[in-house]
Amino acid sequence: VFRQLEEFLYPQSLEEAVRKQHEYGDAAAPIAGGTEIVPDMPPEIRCLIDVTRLGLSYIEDDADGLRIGATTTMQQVAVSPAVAMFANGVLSASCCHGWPKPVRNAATLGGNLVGAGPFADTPPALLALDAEAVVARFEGEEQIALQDFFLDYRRTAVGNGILREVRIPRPAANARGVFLKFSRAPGEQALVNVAVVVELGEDGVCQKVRLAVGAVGRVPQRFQEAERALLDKPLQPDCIDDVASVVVELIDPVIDLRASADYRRELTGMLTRRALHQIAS
Amino acid sequence: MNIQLEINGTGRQVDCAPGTLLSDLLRSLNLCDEDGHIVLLDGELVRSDLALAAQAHGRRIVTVDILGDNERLRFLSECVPGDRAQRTALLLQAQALLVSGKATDNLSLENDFEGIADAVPADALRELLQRLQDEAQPLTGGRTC
Repeated sequence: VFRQLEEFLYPQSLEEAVRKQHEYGDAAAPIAGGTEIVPDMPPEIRCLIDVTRLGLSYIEDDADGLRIGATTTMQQVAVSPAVAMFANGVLSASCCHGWPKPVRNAATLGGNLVGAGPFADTPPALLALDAEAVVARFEGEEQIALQDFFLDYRRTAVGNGILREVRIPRPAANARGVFLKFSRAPGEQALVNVAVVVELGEDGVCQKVRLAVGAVGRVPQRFQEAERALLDKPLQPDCIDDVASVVVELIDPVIDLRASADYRRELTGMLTRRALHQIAS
Repeated sequence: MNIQLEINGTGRQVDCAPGTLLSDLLRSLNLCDEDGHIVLLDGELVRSDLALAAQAHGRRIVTVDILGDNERLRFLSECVPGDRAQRTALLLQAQALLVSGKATDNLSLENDFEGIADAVPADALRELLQRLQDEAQPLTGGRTC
């Protein structure tokens, strides 16, 4: 029993949920599946706001791209044909990488983002897809590019708002994506995860590159210098090696009980090379 | 706080603290043993030790007790090398699929049981499903074992 919790609210609308979150401020947090917040309840939380009854579980595919509601479960995203069509299903892969089904059925895409765990799997994939978050606030709605979403360890730009949906612009037809994760065992947190989306021209030259890495720093991040290093170049082994070297140079890996900084550097280079080789093939 | 939920087909009103884990609530009702964290919440397998009881307000919960049979668990234990938690997940997923009306012949072992029955021989799984379907035990009643 979490004795710190004094209230559990069931708002009837998103507006009511936003109002309550605004009133309670840092003492309240939204809860959907609970798999992020229940095992790691922040000590300041006194009130939880159930956001699972607000109609935020949906995946909509329109002319502009995908709109995924914040309480859509990881399982729903993982098996969605619409999501699988976007850059070879790079997001689908990140939602089902080793997690057991009872966790995927409860965990939500919104929870994975707002929880802002540095080892989360969907953030690198969404960064590589140029996604943006739509946050409902007391003052109104705000759209935040995912690149600006993660501020620090377990801290996001959502603040006292409530994440409503994630929008993913439709990638070009020639976009190919890969998500790779390395963990000690299936279902464990990533030691490193990498997502890459590349648009290849007919001549095999990279027209657009997005490369994001998670689990090495306090927040997942894109490496634009490495992305630029591939622009207008073919995905040949020497170019791939060069880009992997740039990424390894740029990262400043965290050290924890599971891996040293050198090991994470090695893994990052290896996964980057592997992802780009998979796209090339 | 007062929450209302349906457990194994029976409606209940329960008083609990807002921070009560769902697994603790089920244990207090003698519906969750030490390995039995897996339950069906509105037909989906979830871990009750990662959810609060308050999240289940207004929802349907099915625990493995609904199946009420040690015989099927014994049958499973003969063919499943995993632990009781894995067998629980397998039984509940099988039950959920059958209750949803999915015919045994249309089940995909790779998709419908992915991550749950990876170590279970396909023949044993089909036999289990057939037994559950033949007995067609309705999802009503409470703890029977």
